[in-house]
Amino acid sequence: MRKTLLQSTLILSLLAGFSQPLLAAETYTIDPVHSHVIFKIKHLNIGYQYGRFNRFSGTVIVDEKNPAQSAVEIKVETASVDTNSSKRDDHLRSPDFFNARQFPSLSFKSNKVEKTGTDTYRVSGTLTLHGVSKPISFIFKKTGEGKGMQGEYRMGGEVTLTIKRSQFGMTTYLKEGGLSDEVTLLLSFEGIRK
Amino acid sequence: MAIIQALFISLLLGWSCAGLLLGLPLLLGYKRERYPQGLVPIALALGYTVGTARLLEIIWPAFPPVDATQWIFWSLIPALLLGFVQIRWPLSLTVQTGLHLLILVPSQLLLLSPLRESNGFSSWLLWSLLTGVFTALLCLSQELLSSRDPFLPLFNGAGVAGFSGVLLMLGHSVVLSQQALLLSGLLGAAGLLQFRFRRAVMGGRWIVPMLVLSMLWSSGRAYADLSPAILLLIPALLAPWLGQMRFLKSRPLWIQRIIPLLISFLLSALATGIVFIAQEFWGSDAYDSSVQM
Repeated sequence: MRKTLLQSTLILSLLAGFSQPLLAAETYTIDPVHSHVIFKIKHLNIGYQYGRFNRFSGTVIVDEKNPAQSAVEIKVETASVDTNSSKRDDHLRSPDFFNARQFPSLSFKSNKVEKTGTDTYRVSGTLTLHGVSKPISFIFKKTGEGKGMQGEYRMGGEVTLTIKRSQFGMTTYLKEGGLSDEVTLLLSFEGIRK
Repeated sequence: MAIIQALFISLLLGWSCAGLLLGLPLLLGYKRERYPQGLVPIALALGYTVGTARLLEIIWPAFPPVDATQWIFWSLIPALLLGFVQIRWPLSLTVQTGLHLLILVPSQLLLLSPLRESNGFSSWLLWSLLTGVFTALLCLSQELLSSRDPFLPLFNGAGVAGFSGVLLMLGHSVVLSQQALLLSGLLGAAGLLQFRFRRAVMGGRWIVPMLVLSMLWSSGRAYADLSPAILLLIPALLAPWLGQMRFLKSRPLWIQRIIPLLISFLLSALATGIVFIAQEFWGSDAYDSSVQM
């Protein structure tokens, strides 16, 4: 009786262990130390200026079997903008651009994920920037996965997309040609599996 | 260069619209007593709106605006309506002040509405009420002063608005700064017009400039990094009262005007100097303060 119970427990445990990755979607929490939110914008129609956000968080849910169940959610702290010039950063935080005190964060939340290739997904959702929410879509490319230094399981991904800042009510220096309307965003991340 | 170009075009547009409206009765040969006083707030509001629309590169902001600082636009509409009322029915100072309160307090409530979430309901309510009531008092003071010397408060107001622009620039908002400079240009133009056409008594002129100035100051404090040194501009705004005091009243008119202007300038320059030196020596702590809010 005792032997049968032990065998059953062992079999159930093994089944549960093997079936989990196949049945459940995997949730990855973005690791801010190994992730980057970078943007670039053209200045005076001459050269590109790069900047980044230093504080952000988010989760990526990957469901290989049923990609439609996958999801991406990210929240970026606008006050953490960093362009390697503190005065310019102060200006970017002001009502002229991000208005960081009124809109402390910019966010993205997906509502549709489709698999487009071996490691690529088309992600559609809503980007909220400067208090304005607009639907956007982009290609999410899985860049790799594997065990981390402390045994945790990691997945990497990258997204590049271009938005028009005027659509989000950020029009400062647009007509004078000071700064381009198009802003390219690059999100490169590593997520830690929960 | 692009910033200066944008400001110049906006100023030209603002001046043209306001100047046309203000000058029209004079060109039509209106007598001093018949000059439509309500035209002043209308002309200033129109000049400011057209100029700022050019600055912000929008035709008209959305309603309700997403960016709280754009409530300045919408708050000008009741000020315009007050102008119309003043054309039709000259109002007593008490009624005017009551109406000013009805415009100024809700404007501040709307402008500072994001603080309701970040700073709490009572803080938002208190700040909005205090700012609205204080602006109404300043407005009343300016109207009283203008009835005694119609010229000096306009020029002084232009200077204070100009220094507000400098302080807002140092507070990291070029757009708010440009709006203050636009207001400064409009007040200066109205002052020149008053100086040139002395027969015109332009009453009810302060609701629009005070509304805009107080909302720019509030925006600067709440959403940019405007220094508390801006408070020095309040006595600067009130400095023309010195010209009404006995020790100056007996002096020639030019002394009555130049001394208050000089004191106003010194106070404004002191505010600018404090901010400038503070930034040079201690740098900017805007990042931390914005995170805390």
